[in-house]
Amino acid sequence: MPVKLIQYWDIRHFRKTDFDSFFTQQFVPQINDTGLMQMVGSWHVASGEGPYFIAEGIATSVDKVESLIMAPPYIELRHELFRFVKDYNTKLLVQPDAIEPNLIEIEHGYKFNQHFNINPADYYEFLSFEEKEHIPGMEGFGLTIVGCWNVAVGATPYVIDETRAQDLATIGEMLESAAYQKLTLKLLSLVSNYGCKILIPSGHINT
Amino acid sequence: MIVKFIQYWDVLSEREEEFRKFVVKSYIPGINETGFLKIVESWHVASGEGPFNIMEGVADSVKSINNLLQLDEFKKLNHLLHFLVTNYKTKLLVPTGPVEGIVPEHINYRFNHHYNINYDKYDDYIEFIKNEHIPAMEVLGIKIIGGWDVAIGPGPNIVIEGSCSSVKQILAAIGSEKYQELTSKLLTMVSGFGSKILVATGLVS
Repeated sequence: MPVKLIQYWDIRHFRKTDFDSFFTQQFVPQINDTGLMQMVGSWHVASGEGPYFIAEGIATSVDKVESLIMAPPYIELRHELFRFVKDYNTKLLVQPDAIEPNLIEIEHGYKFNQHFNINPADYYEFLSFEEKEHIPGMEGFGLTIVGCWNVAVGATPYVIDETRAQDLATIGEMLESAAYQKLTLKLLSLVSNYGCKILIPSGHINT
Repeated sequence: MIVKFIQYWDVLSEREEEFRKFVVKSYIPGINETGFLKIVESWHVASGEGPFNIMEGVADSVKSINNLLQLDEFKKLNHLLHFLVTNYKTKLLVPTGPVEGIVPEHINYRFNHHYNINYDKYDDYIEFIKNEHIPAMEVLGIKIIGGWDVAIGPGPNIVIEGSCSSVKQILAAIGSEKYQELTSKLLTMVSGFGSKILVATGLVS
């Protein structure tokens, strides 16, 4: 089952140009060359909390990510990265059930991600809502469901519903609609620590 | 000089209808009748971090807020509110240059930035906001309607409020190269940057 390694940081801005060269010419290609993980997208947080820069990698299993993070070339790359960035964090995302995520070689479009913790007492009601109402509802607004992830390692909230839109207008139309607000209010009755982010391509990997 | 008193909360599960009735019939009119604070809008966070509900009130001075907080009527209303909500918090916002706070009269959506200014860049920041950021945001269709210092309440310390006639317009702005260029420049002068898109709940008539 595919997993995601999300890395996020703020760029030390006096090193911005150096960062751009390092990230595109060394960090991304050298991680891809290991064959353990594919870097599929990099994003700016257009709306939501920082850090502002998000790098997204996909591996075929947790074992591959483990091999990557123990590999000396990766440790060296990450060490080099710290010269250009601050507030570095990571999350390892896994699929909680048998739903196959919608993953692609290089990302395109825009992301709208919701994150939250499920209220323990509402767990089974949440699962039913997610399957029968939330996911079909989001698809009805014109978004593609990329994955419903659990944060296996990293900061909570521990559930991330990841969606992809072809354009920002689709997300805008959804956010203004009464149907979306109704759907979100129902979701909020089942979860806590809710938040969401709109991501736009940073231009380093995907555009 | 207007100041803002912002309240945040999440509504408790299965208390939504009771909450709605209480806020519309008792809480908002009760606060407005004190004469110390006027509730001008109530918002949902459409994009950004929670709490999900934001109540926006304006007063003519910090003293008015102080008077409100000491009123028995306000204490009673807030006591009742706490049976229906969780994650309650407040912020008192006072104006900070170079934007004088205004309250739009027409229906609008908000796109707010929050951050801490890197104080070694303070003069550059003020210059940038006044001469580049505000004019460019207006060209992108987002009118800056307030620049606030969080005088009391959790940080980040600065809140910049933008108003717009549609969420689609906000997203067209944030997808533009100009906005990304502006944000990249802003990020060289601030830390703890984040933003929120707010949509009116319809609770305030």
